[in-house]
Amino acid sequence: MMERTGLCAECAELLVPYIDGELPPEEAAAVAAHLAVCPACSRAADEHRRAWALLADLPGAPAVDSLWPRVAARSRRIAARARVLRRVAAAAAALAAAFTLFYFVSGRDNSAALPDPDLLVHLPVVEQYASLDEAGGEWLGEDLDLVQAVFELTQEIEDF
Amino acid sequence: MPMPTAILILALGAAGETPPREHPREQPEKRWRALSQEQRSRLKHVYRLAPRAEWERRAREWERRGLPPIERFPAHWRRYIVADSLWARRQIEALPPERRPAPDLAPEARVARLKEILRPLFRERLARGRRAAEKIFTPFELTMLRQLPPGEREKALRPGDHDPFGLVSPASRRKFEAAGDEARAAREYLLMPAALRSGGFVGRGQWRQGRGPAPRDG
Repeated sequence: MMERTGLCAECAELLVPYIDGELPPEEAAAVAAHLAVCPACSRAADEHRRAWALLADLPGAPAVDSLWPRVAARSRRIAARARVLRRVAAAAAALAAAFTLFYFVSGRDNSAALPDPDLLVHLPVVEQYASLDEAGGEWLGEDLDLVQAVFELTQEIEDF
Repeated sequence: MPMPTAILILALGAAGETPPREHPREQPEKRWRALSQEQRSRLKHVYRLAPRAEWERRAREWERRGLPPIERFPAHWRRYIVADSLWARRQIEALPPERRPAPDLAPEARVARLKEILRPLFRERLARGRRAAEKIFTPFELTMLRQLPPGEREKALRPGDHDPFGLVSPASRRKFEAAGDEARAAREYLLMPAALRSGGFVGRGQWRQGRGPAPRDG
């Protein structure tokens, strides 16, 4: 068999559209010129033409009666599946949007917003009183005398 | 104990928490934002417990007494003050009514009376803790325990083996865990914040001139 040149390889690609008359005129003229000089490509073109002529001569076979209902049922199934997929995708998108909204609205640390201005004014003393109660049990805030006495006694200790 | 471990402990102790020096008055908004969400919720709750006028009175009272900004203290100092105050309250409540400070005393007189009642109890408690610590731990272990930063010391004195440096010998640990009340007293004694005891703290985050805070927090 003749070794294919670059030109033949290009012709082999264009051969089928050339035979079908689908090529633009310039390319069709180029392929025709090549076929006129290249016996191998010309032979290949003839084989294609013969094969298609044989196919064209085949008698048409009527479709079986059950074919169309099967095709219709299958296309309905495909359409139904596509509808379900669209709905699931829409629901997932809505859910993602809801979560994003929730994250930005509720998930943020709202307590960082400035509180009652009076609380800010008294913040140091509120913190001190909260510290006195941090044991979580008995409230010491009402007995500052005791806290002061303990604090001063602690400072008296020189021994360690 | 090998020498490198001792050096490491001394280095850790030196890097320990230092007491809060006088800090510039922070903007309340800035302070609020610096708090955790949990702290903010707690402060809102505490603030709602009393009317505004009461908070004004309390702020004046705190200022008048020269009490320290305990909210700025390290957590273990605050725990110590709260625990000690609760202990003191129990001591007072255990007294017969005639020995308790009279309810109509002025604050200064009541503080003085409370100190008068509590001082011997306080000293006795301290001495008991010291004796227990000396009974359980060797002098070297005590020295090393005092050098530890408070968090590490607390771990080393926790029941069970939480002592990352192997500071407490197995024999001492056995004694410590079998000692019951004595172990509790020793633990209390060793966990007292040394800087609070320095006697140099004059309130509002300031230290007496020339004295300064203890070199390490205890």
